[in-house]
Amino acid sequence: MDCVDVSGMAGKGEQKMNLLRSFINANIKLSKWFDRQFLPSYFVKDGNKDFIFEMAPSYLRQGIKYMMSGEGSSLLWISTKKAIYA
Amino acid sequence: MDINKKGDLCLTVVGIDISQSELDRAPVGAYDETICADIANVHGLADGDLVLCQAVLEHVQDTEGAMRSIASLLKPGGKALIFVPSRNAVFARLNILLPENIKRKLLYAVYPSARAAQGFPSFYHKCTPDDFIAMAKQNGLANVESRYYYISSYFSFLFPVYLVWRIWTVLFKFIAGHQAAETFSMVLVKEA
Repeated sequence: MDCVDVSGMAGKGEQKMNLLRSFINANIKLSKWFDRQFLPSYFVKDGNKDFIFEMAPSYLRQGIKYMMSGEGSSLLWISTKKAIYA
Repeated sequence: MDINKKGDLCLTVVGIDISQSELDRAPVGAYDETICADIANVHGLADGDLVLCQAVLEHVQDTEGAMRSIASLLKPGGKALIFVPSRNAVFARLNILLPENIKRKLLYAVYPSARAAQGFPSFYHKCTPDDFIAMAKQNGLANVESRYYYISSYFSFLFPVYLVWRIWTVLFKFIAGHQAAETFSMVLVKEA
């Protein structure tokens, strides 16, 4: 069986993917810029981040930086049983 | 969850999930107790101070049952913090309409990082702010705080599409108010 050098083909494929990735990233940046320029702040507030970094810690009262990245906790429920409220 | 902070605050943390493997992925010591069960069928002991639920209820078919479970987990005065994407969001509607394999391929192609945490089947059953407030009330939970968000990143990969979506969200917000939110979070308190 003849051997076929696929390294060049793989390189081209990777190049195309990188190009596509750059195109997508540029569009994402443009979308963010548009929001910042033309919309009030409440339109651009990220709910997920607000929940994790602001809402949840504020209800714990003691300033925990509450991280829920989704890794290992993407379907997470937490019930804290001890009295952490006054 | 920061294990050190958990210790500092003397928290007892209970993880509830329909998948044991998902619970097992949590860091060692994160949970003091785990309950592997469908959240729609959990019968709690009413001993929880805080139930935290982030981007879960859109994946549950029986949202009313889940709200009942949340209420059963809380002691009187206990709080539930809930974050959920709204059924009224454009991405949610697409999620409901598109076949599972197609939408998963699209999502992972455009956002490879979503592979780790997204792509679970979603139903968005009664996942709107007003439906949540009504379901909470039916289960003895009072809504004490709501936050509404009008952004999601699903369409930002192609600016012209994003622009059309943005115009829609602004118009929809003008027409429907908080019901037009893409995602929302709520604080519910169990009444005595």
